[in-house]
Amino acid sequence: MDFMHFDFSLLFSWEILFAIVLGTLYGLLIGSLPGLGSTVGIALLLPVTYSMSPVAAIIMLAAVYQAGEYGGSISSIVLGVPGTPSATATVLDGSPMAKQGKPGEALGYSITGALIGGGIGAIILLTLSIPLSTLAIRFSDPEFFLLGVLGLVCVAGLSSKDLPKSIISVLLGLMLGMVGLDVATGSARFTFGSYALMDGISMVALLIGMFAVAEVFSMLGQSSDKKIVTDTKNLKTKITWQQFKGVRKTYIKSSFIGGFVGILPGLGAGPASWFAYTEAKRTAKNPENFGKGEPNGIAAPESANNAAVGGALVPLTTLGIPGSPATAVILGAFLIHGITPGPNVFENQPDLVYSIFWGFFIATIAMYFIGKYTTPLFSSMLKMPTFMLSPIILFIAIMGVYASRINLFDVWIAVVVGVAAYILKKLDFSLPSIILAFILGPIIETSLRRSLLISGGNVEIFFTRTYSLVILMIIVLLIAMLILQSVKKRKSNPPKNVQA
Amino acid sequence: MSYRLATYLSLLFLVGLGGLFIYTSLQFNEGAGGQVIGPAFFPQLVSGLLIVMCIISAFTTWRKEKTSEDTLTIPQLKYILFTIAALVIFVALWDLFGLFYLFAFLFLFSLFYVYNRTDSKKKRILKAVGLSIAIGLFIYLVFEKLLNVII
Repeated sequence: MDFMHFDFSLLFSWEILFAIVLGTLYGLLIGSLPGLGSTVGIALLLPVTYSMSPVAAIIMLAAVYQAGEYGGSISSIVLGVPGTPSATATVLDGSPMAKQGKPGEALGYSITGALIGGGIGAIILLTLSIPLSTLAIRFSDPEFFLLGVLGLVCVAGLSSKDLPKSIISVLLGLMLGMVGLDVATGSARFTFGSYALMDGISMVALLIGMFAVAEVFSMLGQSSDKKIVTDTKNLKTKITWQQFKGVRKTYIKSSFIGGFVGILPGLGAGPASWFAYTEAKRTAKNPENFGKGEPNGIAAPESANNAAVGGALVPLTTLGIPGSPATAVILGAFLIHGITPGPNVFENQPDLVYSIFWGFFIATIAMYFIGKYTTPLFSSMLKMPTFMLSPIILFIAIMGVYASRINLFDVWIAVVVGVAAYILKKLDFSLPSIILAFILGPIIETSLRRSLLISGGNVEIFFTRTYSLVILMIIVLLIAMLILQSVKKRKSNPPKNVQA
Repeated sequence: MSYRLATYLSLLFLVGLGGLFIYTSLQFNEGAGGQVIGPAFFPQLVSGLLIVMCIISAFTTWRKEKTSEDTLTIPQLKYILFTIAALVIFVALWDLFGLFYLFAFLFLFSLFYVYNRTDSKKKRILKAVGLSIAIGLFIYLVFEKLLNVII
């Protein structure tokens, strides 16, 4: 229990406290601006850390990462536009709850989830770093392929309205994810001669198009002077003890899901939040309430994506493997300060490692208090009438797309995707399914091809490894449950009058 | 337009997209990189499945009970079309000439003015000018000054 024999006075210096507060405020801002996520935020702040001590620098960047994940939910809830890809699942229930005039309550569920998820992530980091990273490195391409498939099965089952359209949405997302240079061979795929498409379709452009542009079109259908929030009391970011009790199990379960998925390199907070959301819906007493402002639908993704932050720091600190783009930038900060993360750093510099871990824990608590008192400023936007709010959302979202890669082509993509998404949404296709398939597609394809390369084309590689088998069994179980639910639903609502 | 017809049209478009992906992937270099499965395998598999699922979806739509909610309504279509046109013109002008702040002001002004259906003409102009300047200032301070984004 080395982490308990730590000299806490090392953390209570003005420099470190300043780093936590600055990192948290900056992370909240950058996360809440659609398009800019934690990775961009950390990269932009990296030069500021050159003159700081290594511990303060890393803690500040970890605080940005943590607060950025929560910040993403502010935009998801208040504007209906995910601030970060990992906050996409939060839109599904956060935005409807805000539209019911309760943005403060929705943000309360979110920030409490961020605190619990972040706290559990930090505890995982402090206590289980070494055993979990050992487990994570046993996960290889066959397991990543199957985890990706598991994610797709989960998300395809999310839409209970029209399963074939939900599956089509998944396939469409996979197809969009194939655009660009093929990683294995360097072939240009579906770029149609455009250099701008060589890097693939920008995730931010896709997100903003689907959620911001399409959301503005939906808002235009409402009365121009309609205000979402009329009572200032509803802006306070808080939930009552009774409300907390209703979602506490979801918080805990989702935090562990997020923490574990975060540890696996390449997956990160986005898939973690979707896995948690699906699990919360699957085990809920009233799954039909999901998508209509269900508290568990906010609690699950928000605790999972913040727990994934702590999880993502596990392979980084213990093995020196950055599991996500954000941790890759943090690895850069480690190296700039002359620290090479990995097993040796635990032996040679335990104080440094545990300073970072405990600092991360304190940053999570700081995020809760700073977030609680600053988010009402964001949610007060909902007091504006629709005719003011919709151009603001549209314009800031477009700027977010541009700023993410300083590329106007991405803005064009967002416009086209926005129009297409509005039509697809009207026709009951599932936009979240498209997004998750877009995220998971490249992981699935690369892992499948690598697995078959390792096995010389033998598909037995997916059935003969212990971890693969466990994931495969979960997939089969989920599919069986989906079919069973569908049959039950059909039996309870038999078609009355079938006609063309 | 009826919901059914719109669904059939969208599925037809998606079948076309699937066909285009399959056709394009036939030209990929399959032998490259010593891969067991090449760059065309996954696109062909997914596109093929997409076409199959579109057919299944068309069949399930055809089998569905006809209800009174079968009409696809797009409320305030003229505002949506105006927004798309304004957006396309703004991005095209920005792309061609730069002058971001000028075109951004005009774009925002047009949206604030057109969306405001309650105030008098004078108030609409004043509000649109004030809000457009404020948003432009916000973008300048946050994106250009704080985040060093070159616009």
